[in-house]
Amino acid sequence: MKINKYHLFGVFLPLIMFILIALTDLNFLKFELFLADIARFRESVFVVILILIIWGLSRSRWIRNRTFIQKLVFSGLSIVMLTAILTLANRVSFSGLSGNVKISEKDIVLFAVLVGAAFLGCMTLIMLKQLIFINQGKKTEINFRLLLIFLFLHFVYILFGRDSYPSVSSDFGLFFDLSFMKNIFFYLFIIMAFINGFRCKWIHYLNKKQKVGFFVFFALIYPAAQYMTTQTPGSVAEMSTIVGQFFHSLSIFYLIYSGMALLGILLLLPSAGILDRRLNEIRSLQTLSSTIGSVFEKGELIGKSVELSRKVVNADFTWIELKNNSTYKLEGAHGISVNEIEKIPESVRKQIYKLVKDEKGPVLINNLPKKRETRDFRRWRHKAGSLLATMMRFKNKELGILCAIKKEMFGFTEDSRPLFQSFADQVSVALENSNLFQTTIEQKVYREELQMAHDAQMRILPRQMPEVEGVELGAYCMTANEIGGDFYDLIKVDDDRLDIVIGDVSGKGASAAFYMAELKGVIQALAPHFSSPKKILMEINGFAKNHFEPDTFVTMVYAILYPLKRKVHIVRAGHPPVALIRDDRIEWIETDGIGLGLVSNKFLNSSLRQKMIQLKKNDTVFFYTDGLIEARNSEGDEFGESKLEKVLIDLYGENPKSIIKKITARLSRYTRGVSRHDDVTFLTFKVIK
Amino acid sequence: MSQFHVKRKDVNNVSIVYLKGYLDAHTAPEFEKTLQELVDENRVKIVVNLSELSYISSAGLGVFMGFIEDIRNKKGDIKIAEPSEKVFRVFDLLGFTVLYEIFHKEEEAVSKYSKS
Repeated sequence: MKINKYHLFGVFLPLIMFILIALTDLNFLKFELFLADIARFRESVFVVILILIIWGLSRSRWIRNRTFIQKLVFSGLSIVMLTAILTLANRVSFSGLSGNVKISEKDIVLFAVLVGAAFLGCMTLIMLKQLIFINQGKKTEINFRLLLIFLFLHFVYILFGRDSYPSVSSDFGLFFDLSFMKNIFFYLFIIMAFINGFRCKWIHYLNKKQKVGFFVFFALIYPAAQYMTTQTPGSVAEMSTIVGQFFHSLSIFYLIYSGMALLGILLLLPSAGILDRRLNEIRSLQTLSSTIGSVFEKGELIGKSVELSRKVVNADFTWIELKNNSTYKLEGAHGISVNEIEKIPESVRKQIYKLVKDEKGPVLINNLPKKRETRDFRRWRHKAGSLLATMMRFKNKELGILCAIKKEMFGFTEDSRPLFQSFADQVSVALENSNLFQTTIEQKVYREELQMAHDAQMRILPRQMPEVEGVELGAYCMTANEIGGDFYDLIKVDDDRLDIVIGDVSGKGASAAFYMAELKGVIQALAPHFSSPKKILMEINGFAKNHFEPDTFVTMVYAILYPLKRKVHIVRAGHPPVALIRDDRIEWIETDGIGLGLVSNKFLNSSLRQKMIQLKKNDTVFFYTDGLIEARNSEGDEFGESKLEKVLIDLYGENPKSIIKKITARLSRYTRGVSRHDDVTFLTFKVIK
Repeated sequence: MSQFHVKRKDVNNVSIVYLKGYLDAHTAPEFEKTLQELVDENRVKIVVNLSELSYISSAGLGVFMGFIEDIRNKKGDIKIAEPSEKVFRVFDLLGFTVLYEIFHKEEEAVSKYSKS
C-alpha cells in the first residue's frame, strides 16, 4: 500500500508520539490521583492522537479498496482479536496499581500490544464506517458524524466535565454507572449507534450462500463482542481512561451493529434464493441488451441469443428457428448441437409451431412426456420434461420461434414466461435491426454503383459543343434517375458536315442506359459512311430489331447539317417533332416515321420520310425529347407543346446558350417541388452567317 | 404511386381490355399480366379500350409491342379503341397509327373482327 502524507500525519506520527510520551516518562503509565491535571493533559493528548489515527486511516486508499466482504471479515476478526488481547491484558496485572511505581518488561510488552490494539480498533472503526456508507443516503454522513461527535463529547465530559478526576471503575458508561446525567453523551452515542445500525445495505449484495455464511459468522462473533464489553474496564482503563473508553465504546458499537446485521440477514434469508434468481435474470437481460446494440452480424446474434436465453430461464437446451418465406429453418442451438434438435420428431415440432401460433404469449408445458400432443418427445434421444416456447414478432411480422427445454418435468415456473417473452422481444428487435442493417449496406453499395454509372454515362455525352463555322450550338440533358435512356450526339463528320442526333430509348434505368451507350457507338461508327440520315436510321432499325427485346424501342431524330451550304436534312423516327423558328414564327417538322426497333426495315422504308430545309440567317432549330413536354408541376399539369411553342417564340433571336439556360430555368420553376419522372433533353442550333 | 386499373370483358370470341389511369413503367406489369392470361387462354382477338387512360409512357407502349407479334402469328390482333386526344397524339408521334388499327368507338373495333 502506498504511504502518503495522510498516513504520516494521521497514523504514524501519533503512534510515535504515543510511544515517545510513554517512554520518556513511564510514570505516565501509572495512574496517581494527585497527578490529576497531568493525567488530564495526557489523556487529552491521547484523544487527539486517537482522532489523528482515525483521520489518517480514513484517508487510506488501501483500506478503501478492500471489498466489503473483506471489511466485514476483518472487522469481525479484529473484534475477536481485541477481545483476546484485552482478556489477556486483564489476566496479567500491573505490578502495583497505586503506589509502587515499578515497571517490568511485561508492562512494556503489554503496552506495546495495547498500542497495536488501539491501532486495530481504529481500523475496525474505519471499516465499519465504510460499510455503513455503502449506498450512502442523505443522512448517512450526518448520522455517522453525530456518532463520533457524541463519543468525543463523552470523552471531553469524562475529562473535564466533573469536579474530581474520575476514578477508574466508576466511569464506564452503561454497564457500571447508570446515572443519566453523567452519561448523557454516552446514551446519545448509543442512540446514534442504533441509527447507524440500520445501514447494513451490503446485505443486498450477498448471494444466498454468502448470507448464510455471514449469519453464522456474526452469530459466532456476537458473544465475543459481548465479552469484550465486559473486559474493557480493567488493565487498559488503568493505563488510560480514554483508550479504555475507546475500546468500550467500540465494542458496544460493534455489538449493536452486528446485532442489527444479524437481524437483517435473518429477515432477508428466506427471499435470498429468489432474489439471486431475479438478479441473474436481470443481468442476462442487460447482457442481451448490450449485445443487441452492438451485434449486427446475424450468425453472431443468433449464437448469443440462444446462449443468453438458456441462461436466463436456466434451461438445458435452447434453439431458434427463423422464418424463411413460409417455412421455418433451424438456425442455432445452445446446450446441444443443431443436428440433435433436427432429430426431434417432426410431429412434435409441428405441434410446437401450432401451439406457439395459437397462443397469444409464450407456451409453457411442464409435463412433455405425459401430454398427448408432445408424447412423441419420448422418441427423441434426449430427455425432455418441460418446454418453454414463444413466437418472435416484430410489428406483427413473424420472424421465428425461440424454444427452451429442461430435462426434468416442472422445470419452468410460471414467472419465467413473461421473462422469456421479453427476451424473445429483444431478440426480435435485434434480428430486425440486423436485417435492416444488411439492407442498408446493400442499398448504400447499390446507390454508390448507380452514381458511378451516372458519372460514366455523363461522360458518354459530348463534353463540349463542337466548333462549327457559321453555326452556334447549345444542349441540355438531365436523367430522371441516376441513369436513363435519353441521349444526344454532335458528330463533326467533316468541315462542312455536322450530324445532330437526339434519341430516347424506351424504359428507364440500367437497361435503357446500356442500349443508349451501344447506340451511340453504332451511330458514331455509321455516320462517316452514310450521307443520308434515312439510310443511317434504317441501319439502326436493323440493329435494334435484332438486338433489343421486343418491348424495347428507340425514338430518334437524325439531322445532317451542312453549315456552309445552309442546308439540313432531317428524319424523324417516332420522336417528338423538330421546331424551326424563323422570324418570330414556328414551323413544326413532323415528317412520317415510326420508332426504331418496332418494324422490319422493309416496312420502315415505306413509312419513313426525309425532309430537306434551306436555312436562312438567324434561323433557330430546336430538338427535344418527350421528357420536356411531359414534365409535371405540383398540380400534375404537363408542360405541354403549346407552352413550349410560346417559350420558343419568346426566345427567338437569342443565342443558343442563352436559350438553353432560359428554358432550363423555366422548366425548373415549373417543376419546383416535384421529382422528375422522365429524362429531359433538348438541343438547339442557330445559323449566324 | 401511379393509379392504374385493368378490367377484362369477354364477349363471344373477342376480349375487351379496359385500361384506366396511368400506364407507365410501374403499372405496366399489371397490363402485361392480363395480356399474358389472354394469350394463355388463346383468346387472341383483343380490343383495348383506352377511354379512361390518361397517360401512357414508352414502357406502356412497349407492352403492346411485346405481345403483338405472337398474337398476330396466332391469327389474332390488338385493336385500339377510344383513345383520348393526348394518348392518340403519343401513338401518332411514335407511328403506332400505322402499326395498329385505331377506332373511335369500341363497337367498331369489335365488329371489325366479325367482318374479317
